[in-house]
Amino acid sequence: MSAPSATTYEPILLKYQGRTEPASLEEYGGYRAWLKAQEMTPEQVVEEVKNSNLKGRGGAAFPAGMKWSFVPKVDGPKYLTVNADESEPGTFKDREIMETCPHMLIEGALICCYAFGAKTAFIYIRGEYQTAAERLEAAIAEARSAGLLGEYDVIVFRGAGAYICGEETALLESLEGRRPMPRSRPPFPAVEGLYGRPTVINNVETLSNVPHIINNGAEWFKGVDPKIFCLSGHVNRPGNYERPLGSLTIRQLIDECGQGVIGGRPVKGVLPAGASAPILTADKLDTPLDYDSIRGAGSMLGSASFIVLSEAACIVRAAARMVEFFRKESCGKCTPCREGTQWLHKVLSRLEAGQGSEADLDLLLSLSDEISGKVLCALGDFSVSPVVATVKQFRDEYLAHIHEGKCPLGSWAL
Amino acid sequence: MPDPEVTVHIDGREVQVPRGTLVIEAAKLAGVEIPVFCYHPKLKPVGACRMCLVDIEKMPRLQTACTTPVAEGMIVHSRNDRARDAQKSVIELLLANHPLDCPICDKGGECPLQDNTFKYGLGTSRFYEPKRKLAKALPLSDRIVLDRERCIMCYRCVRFQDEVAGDQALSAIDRAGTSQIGVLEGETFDSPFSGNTIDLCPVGALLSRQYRFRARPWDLQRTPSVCVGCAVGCNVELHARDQVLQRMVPRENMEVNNEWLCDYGRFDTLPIHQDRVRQPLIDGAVAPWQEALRTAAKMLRGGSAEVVASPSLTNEALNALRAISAGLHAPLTVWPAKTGRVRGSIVDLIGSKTIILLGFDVWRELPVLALRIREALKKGAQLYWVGAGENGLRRDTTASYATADALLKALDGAPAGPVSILGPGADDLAQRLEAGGMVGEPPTAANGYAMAELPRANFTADVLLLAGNESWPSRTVNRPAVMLRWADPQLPASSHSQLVLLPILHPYEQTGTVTNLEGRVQELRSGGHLAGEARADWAVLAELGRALGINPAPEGIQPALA
Amino acid sequence: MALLTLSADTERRIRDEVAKYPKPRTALLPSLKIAQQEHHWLAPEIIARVAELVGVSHASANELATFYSMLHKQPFGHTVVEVCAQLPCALRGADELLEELARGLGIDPGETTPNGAVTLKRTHECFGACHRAPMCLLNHEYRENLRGEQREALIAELRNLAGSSSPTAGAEPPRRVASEEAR
Repeated sequence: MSAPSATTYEPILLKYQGRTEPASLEEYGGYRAWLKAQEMTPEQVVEEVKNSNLKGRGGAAFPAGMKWSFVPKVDGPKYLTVNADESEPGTFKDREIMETCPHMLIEGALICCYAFGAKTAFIYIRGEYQTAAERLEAAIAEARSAGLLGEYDVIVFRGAGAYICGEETALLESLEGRRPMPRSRPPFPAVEGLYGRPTVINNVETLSNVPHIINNGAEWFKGVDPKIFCLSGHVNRPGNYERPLGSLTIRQLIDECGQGVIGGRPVKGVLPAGASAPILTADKLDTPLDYDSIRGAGSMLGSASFIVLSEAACIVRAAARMVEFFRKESCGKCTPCREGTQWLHKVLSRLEAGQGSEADLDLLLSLSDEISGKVLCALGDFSVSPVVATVKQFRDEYLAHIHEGKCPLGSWAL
Repeated sequence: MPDPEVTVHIDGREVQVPRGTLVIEAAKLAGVEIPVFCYHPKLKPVGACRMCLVDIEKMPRLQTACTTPVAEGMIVHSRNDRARDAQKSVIELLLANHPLDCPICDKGGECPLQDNTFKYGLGTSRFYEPKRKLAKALPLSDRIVLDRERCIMCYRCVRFQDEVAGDQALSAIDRAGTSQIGVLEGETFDSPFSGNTIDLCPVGALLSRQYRFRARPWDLQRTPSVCVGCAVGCNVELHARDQVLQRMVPRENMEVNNEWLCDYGRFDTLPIHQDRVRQPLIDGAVAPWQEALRTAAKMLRGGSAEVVASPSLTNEALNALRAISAGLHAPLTVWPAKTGRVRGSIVDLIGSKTIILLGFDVWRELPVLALRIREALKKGAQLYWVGAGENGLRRDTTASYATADALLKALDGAPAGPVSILGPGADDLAQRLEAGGMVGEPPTAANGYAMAELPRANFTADVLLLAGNESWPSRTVNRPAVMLRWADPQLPASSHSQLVLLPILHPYEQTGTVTNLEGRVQELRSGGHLAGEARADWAVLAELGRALGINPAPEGIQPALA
Repeated sequence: MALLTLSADTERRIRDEVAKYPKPRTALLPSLKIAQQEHHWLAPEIIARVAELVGVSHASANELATFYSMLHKQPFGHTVVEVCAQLPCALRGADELLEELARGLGIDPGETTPNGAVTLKRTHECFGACHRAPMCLLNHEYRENLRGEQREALIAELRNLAGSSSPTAGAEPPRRVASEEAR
């Protein structure tokens, strides 16, 4: 399959990138896909999305069409909840979609509702994204005035600062006005979700692809498979870069899109999925940007949030900072995450301050083993990634802290 | 049609269970113990503590037994290396920040955390970091004290208040490693069922202030009995140390109280810190039994008499009073008139599809019955309130009406059955509907059922026999009286004109039977012993009968069960 | 101290919010945010009032009020500056930005200026502005690309609010207060 060249690629999701004002309904071109979808049967819409192989863009990469097909054909209300709680460190793609082209998301949400029989969509947006929320509400009003919503409703629901609300079932709990702690499964949300009703939860970027699939067809989509890559950290030009999956490597993302590493320094490591996936060392830079290749390289593409660390970065400090995130964002429901992330962070902080020992490194790996695979949700599983990957691949940096009694690098401001 | 059964293997034992059974339940049936903290059979499972992680073949990830339903042919391991490893991990993580202050913790000796640590833990600690510091001995109410450092965030208490009590009186606060249990600042843990969280708490976090530092569980003598706080007759277990009553906990009886108690029964019916009547008193002066009985008999024969029963006396005492009132040709009355009868059982109530409260606040009057009503509501029943006044079950009430007519109109006269009706006018309303559930104006006193046909006392006779530990009304003060009571000897003595006070045992110290609102006769047993000369209510009345020359000894004066 | 109350307007907005959803309890979080706007923090009596308006127990409302980062149970300065210190921002100088702001305002992260105008906070969260790091939130308004002139301008703006007219040299040493991280 020949993908469009990385340098001549015309963004689809980020068509209005760089604009200070969002695209109006007219500029967006009206909801052609929504009207077209309503001429199809719901089953046909699901089939089209299934055939497109669209994978969830929130991090789990679960095939979207398949998720929709899990909803049982029962009477009574069903709900779509759009996961706009983007909170993974290094992730800002959904923000840009919502700020520049809210209509694309709304149209995708409507098509999704139609496909599995929901009449109400909640857009659960993180509380800090005020601009995006306002633009979504204005766009919904615009669409409603244009008579596009009909019997459907799209409601913006703002969060209040909790990363765990990005976890599907914790999001549902938050929407129900309860402490947002993930639920045990079974039952799964498709069967028993919001208010106990069948519910689909999809990421912003996932749904934003849907109008394009309906307009241009599944085969077209398979040939393009657009993905937004977030690039941040020690690069000259951080930002969102939309390219076809697999069309470029990590190195190309850094050099061509990010205009290289600040100060021309060598890359020490790259985190491909924010804080949640193992760090990749410099020898993996020629890995193509797609789910399978990144997995093959020993990590995970997840939300495609690339954080670049140059030689100037202290890995121990980076690990401690990421574990701090998980420690404080843990909801506290399950024992290993609640108690384990605290413990990990306390040990890492000592190591960062130069007050650790080699026994601490064994302890960190042992604790990671006690947490990973034993927790209720993915937050706990991912919380050990910064620890395990860095202790195994950058042991010498840890040893330097231990033996020198301080951080050898000092500041890492670039 | 019964659920189809599946066959599962747990630690090599094969068992057949209905489809949908949780692995933890199947394990119990197979005789395999899987350690738990957050799981409780009466609460919805949450999978929070991770203590019950098991290794299920063909599932790559360990699963919590409490949230996983069985599947045909499932093979579960709870004792292989992977499972044992997980159990050790969870214990190690729970103990990391735990204060480990067992020597000063009431829970020691009956503590699932201790027990699971011994059975499933590592035995050493690797945690050298500073432990988190949280509030210890924080009074949540005048009944409950909370130690936040010991709490393992199993949420049983929060879930109980949400699922069983329905008042959501407790919540988790904060998040992550500083998650705690609490209430809004300036408020207390205000629920009539708060004491149940003490039983549910698997560590020494939620503790009884009444019982705090009083005894160790291995010192306690345990006696099954019945609560005398109201007419539900919750089954209890009395705990005494060196014969002195220390606390009362519930016993499970699915036909009466499930496994709950209300706070009034649990804490306030115990004779702890009460000033006890230990010897007979004649006008405030200690007297030997024989002299007291002679004086009492003389008083009662000396004019017109009224025999007044407290509705908390035992059936056996009531029988003795019947004989005495017959022998004296005196009316037998009851006070306070917390009497009544219902037909139909608590099981019928729980099986109802419509429950109507005619101005009868079950939540306040028969608290645990309110919890049983909530069980019916969770199975789809509808609750209606008719009349004015406070309705403690208002959160769960489908609709309220000013009159029964208005209710019937709204329901088109045909509510889904079986129908239960409680409160004054229940029998009349039941005639207009097909009832089938529990119907009647319930008694609220422990033995109110047995005294339902007794008229209310009017205290106008020349001399009164006041049998029972009530706060008798002030107009009894001017009359000569023979009083049987167990608490506050000084109070009546200082106010009555002529008084013989005969000491009886507290219901938790004597044998006897009481009859609950359904007509269920339940047995009291002696859970503790009071030094002194007090005796069972029926025993004292038997002696009084003999002193009055009322012979032969009336039928049934011995308790029904030896 | 007198108990705080909600204005009639706020109560009306909360009632409207409750009516918006299929189940009233969904409105609990939005209602707490609406209530917080009035006094800039959630006093216990305010939480209780919101609970009553939404129809939940006081404990249930308190559960949410204590869980979410954007809900505050303590009074804060009129302007809250929240600096992101998560990894992508840290790699681009967030720690140094925080130090500079602290010096400029004469307070430690977690503290409020003596005139009550500015509270400085450090957060472990990521605000989704990693491509414009370092950055902060100023009362929920994104202030991004805080380097060079933009950083100077922000510091000047904040010092103005804090009533500091003199440069940092000679300012009182910051008061030491246990920060959130000590928990």
